[in-house]
Amino acid sequence: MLAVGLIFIWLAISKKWEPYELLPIGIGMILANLPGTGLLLQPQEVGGEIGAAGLLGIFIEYGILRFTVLPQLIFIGLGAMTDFSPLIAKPKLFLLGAAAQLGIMLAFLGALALGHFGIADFDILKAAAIGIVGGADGPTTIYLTSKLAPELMGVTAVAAYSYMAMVAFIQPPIIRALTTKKERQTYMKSQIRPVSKRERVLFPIICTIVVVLLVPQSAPLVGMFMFGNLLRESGVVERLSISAQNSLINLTTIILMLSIGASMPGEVVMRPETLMVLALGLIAFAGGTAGGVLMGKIMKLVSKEPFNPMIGAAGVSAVPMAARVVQHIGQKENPKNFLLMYAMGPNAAGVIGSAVVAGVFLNMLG
Amino acid sequence: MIDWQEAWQIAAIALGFTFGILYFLCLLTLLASKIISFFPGNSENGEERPANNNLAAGE
Repeated sequence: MLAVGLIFIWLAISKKWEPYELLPIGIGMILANLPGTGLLLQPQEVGGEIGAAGLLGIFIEYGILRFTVLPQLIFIGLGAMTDFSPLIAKPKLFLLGAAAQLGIMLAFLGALALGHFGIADFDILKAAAIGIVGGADGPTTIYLTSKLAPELMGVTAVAAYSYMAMVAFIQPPIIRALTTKKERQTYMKSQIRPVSKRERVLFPIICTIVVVLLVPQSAPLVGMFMFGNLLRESGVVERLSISAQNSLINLTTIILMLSIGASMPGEVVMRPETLMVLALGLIAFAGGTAGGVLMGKIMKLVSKEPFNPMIGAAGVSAVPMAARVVQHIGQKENPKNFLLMYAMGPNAAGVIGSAVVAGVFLNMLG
Repeated sequence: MIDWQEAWQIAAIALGFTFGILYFLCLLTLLASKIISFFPGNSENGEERPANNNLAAGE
């Protein structure tokens, strides 16, 4: 496990793979596996009083396992950093975000199949926790896994963040396989309509009310996400918005990722099932990309305006990497094309979509 | 023992619900934008922001 921690640190520093996540995860792993530190001692009630506990034990117990506070706090910061303007300007891009959640279902059913044939000890709860990796959303993955299968939390989180870092390698071959050159070259005009402040303020409020009424279990994620967005878009709480985008998200990232790394015991990680989780995670990402692109092709058929189906790949909510992948491929195929702003629409919608899926899973399995 | 009927049901409901909710949000956003466009001073204080002015930030 020490070696695994060192590898993550190397990936973060040398390869710049999601350094904000993998660096503290790597250190957390090392600290958790050095003997005699007491850092992992989780608070236990002894005779009506809480006994001694280690720093990482406190973070894990209260931040993740018992109250799942940390992923929710990160979502406030993510919401404050998200610009929904492209989605508000072109609401049909919501459908691409929905289609990209196909990857979650593929991984969910795949994990169940492995359990069914006795290849891995994956029950329905573990399968849901593995499937949500396909949502390409770290905090959502951590949140759901901590509720349904806490023993897999570290592995699924690492899988999610690792594949987010590899989006630029995973997505292009799938996009190219599912689209023709002519489709990839489809030019979408570079100006889309301006979005008013009223729309940008109403959007998070409407989303919160609608989604939480329909899927109450998604409230911790969607509610916090939209709250953060409202801080940003209201324009009257600049300090709070700046804090959410900077101090809040940075502090909670430090604590959460350190805890994730520390909560990966060697006896869980060094098992064949860990490789299966990683493989299923890859299937989830690939399936999500494929789902988004295929929906893009359907929308191209019915759209009156030119529609580049590649932007569906950005429904995999690795923000903003997936959108940048689409932008990069789009420019290579047609240098006049500037797809980034279109791709940010499904990118943002995918975050909402994966949070909704997590809420539904919790509602049905939690 | 995996109950496959339950599993398919969960997958179908989760995906269907997600599609349904996001489609509903799509329609609501369209409706809200239309209604807002009838209000005077829509871009007052404010900064209409071009939708291609993305301050995209990584997680």
